[in-house]
Amino acid sequence: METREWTMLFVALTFGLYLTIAWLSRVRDTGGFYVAGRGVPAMANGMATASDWMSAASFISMAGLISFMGFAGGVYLMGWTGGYVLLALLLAPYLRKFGYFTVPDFVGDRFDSNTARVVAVLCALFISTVYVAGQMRGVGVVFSRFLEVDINTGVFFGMAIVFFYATLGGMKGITWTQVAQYWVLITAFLTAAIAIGIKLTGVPVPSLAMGAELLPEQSGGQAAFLLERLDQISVDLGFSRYTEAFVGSWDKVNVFCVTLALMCGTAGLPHVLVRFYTVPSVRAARWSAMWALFFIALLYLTAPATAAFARYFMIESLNGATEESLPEWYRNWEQTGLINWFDDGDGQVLYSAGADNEIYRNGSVGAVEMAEIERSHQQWLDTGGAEGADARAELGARGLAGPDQDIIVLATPEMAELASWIIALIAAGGLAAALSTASGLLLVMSSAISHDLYYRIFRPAATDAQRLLVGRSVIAVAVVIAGSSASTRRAS
Amino acid sequence: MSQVVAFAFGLAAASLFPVLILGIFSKRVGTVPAIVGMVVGIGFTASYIVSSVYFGMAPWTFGILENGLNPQGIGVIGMVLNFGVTLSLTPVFPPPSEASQDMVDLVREPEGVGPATRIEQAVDH
Repeated sequence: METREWTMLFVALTFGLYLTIAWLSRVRDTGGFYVAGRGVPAMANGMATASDWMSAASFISMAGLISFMGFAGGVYLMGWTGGYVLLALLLAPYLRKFGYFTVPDFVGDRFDSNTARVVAVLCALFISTVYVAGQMRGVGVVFSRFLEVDINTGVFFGMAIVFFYATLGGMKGITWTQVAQYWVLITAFLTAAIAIGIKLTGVPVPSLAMGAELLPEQSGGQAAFLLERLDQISVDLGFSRYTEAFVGSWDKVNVFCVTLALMCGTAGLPHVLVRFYTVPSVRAARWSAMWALFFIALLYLTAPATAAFARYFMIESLNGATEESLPEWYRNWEQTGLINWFDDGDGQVLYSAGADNEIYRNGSVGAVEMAEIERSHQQWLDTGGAEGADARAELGARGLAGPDQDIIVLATPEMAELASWIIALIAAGGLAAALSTASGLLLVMSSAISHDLYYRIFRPAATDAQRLLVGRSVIAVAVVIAGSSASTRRAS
Repeated sequence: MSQVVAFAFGLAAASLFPVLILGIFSKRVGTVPAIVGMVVGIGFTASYIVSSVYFGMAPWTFGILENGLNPQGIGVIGMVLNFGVTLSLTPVFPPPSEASQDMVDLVREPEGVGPATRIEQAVDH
């Protein structure tokens, strides 16, 4: 089977699984809708928290960032795991003891004021909207490459699935679907990383493979460690050494500040905090923070290895390639506009840090403008520089040098020429990551409005059925807003 | 994509994190300081992110930083502002109601155990 059929199969199977779970765990009361009836065991909640937490940003984008940033990419690893220690020690058990439905609930009751409640609701909505906008792009990237559908169709298809299980099952449905999504995403991420690690070094543990020696057929016969060789080729091409710490604008102050912001942000994110309301006891709240960290660490300890493998394959397979020998992964991703080659006339690809770099991305440049830039570049090549304009100068000035970071995780299995079912599995994993986080965020937005605003402030007499109806309609509205903002973001 | 998501973390660190921490670990912080703290924290952070991402503002150096502060890390300054504003306004405004203070006590008690015995009321030993 081809990659496309495998992807169709995996996406259909996993979506079928999510919908079945949503149907089986549908709810009829607000307790089930907001906090899953407080009956989720600690380990399952840890797993659900992990997939709620590991969004498309963690799954698709983080290894890509590390791949381009090298050492500085560690801020995401440290920040997004360290926050769980703060949560387990300072917040989760106390908020569970308090025992309401949402974060604004705590703020409103503790500070004894509806103004405080409304301010907290607005903060939660603002944070969730910023976050969910990032997820929709993840769904778009996956669909546009693997299913070869129009990006808007892909986004709306994904939103329809989220809408179905978020409204039907509420927190209960979301929790158990997230447990299933955790398995899908971690299997996908680890399978690909292990396969590439074995291919490069023969070591089956990705984190160890990163520090191991390359197999002779991968290093052209000379014995060399992977990272040593990566440092060498990076320097040769004008990049800084891959393992160099505190380069450029990522000095110690910035690394410290970004890490701290991510840690404290983790402990203040409404969709993560609300997960600790779903467990039966305070003790279970502490334990589920520990489990969440454990399940997250499985992916986070592998991501730096994936990043290094991807960097190595990308430079090795691109540089020196000609029009005829361009790797297949490049051909596949070229269509998405996330990577683009503009030749300087010698017919050979060169990906470097200098002005002679030939690899660019479209970024926010629209399709029409891009076609014009490509036409003018072709003219520039044909006339030997007399007419037209060099696209490399144009795109370089806009800061669009190098491929888009978001393709790294999705394209690495293709770069390593792994079996097509592994490539397809990565697509299903990316979707699981994006959808699990999007649904968790939608539920936070829904409960902030239906519970904190509608029930606690405007209609304290509202019945359970009315509150559920408002909750479900808010999810519907939020889905439409998020879906359309993702597609217009892309079009603009 | 990760950068957009990192902004959400900065916003959360500057708005909800301090108010939750102070809400649990202080019985003195009252309504007005908490609200002002949240608004200042999220307002400052959001405006720094918006002006550096959309309006090309150069990152602030505070006169001491070589490279200026990355907008992904500005949440830390927002958080410090939030804590600072809330704590400095606290003495000026009244403490929270009895009910709220009792709630904080309740939240701090271990589950399934009564309140800790006051040492002056304990039996002689």
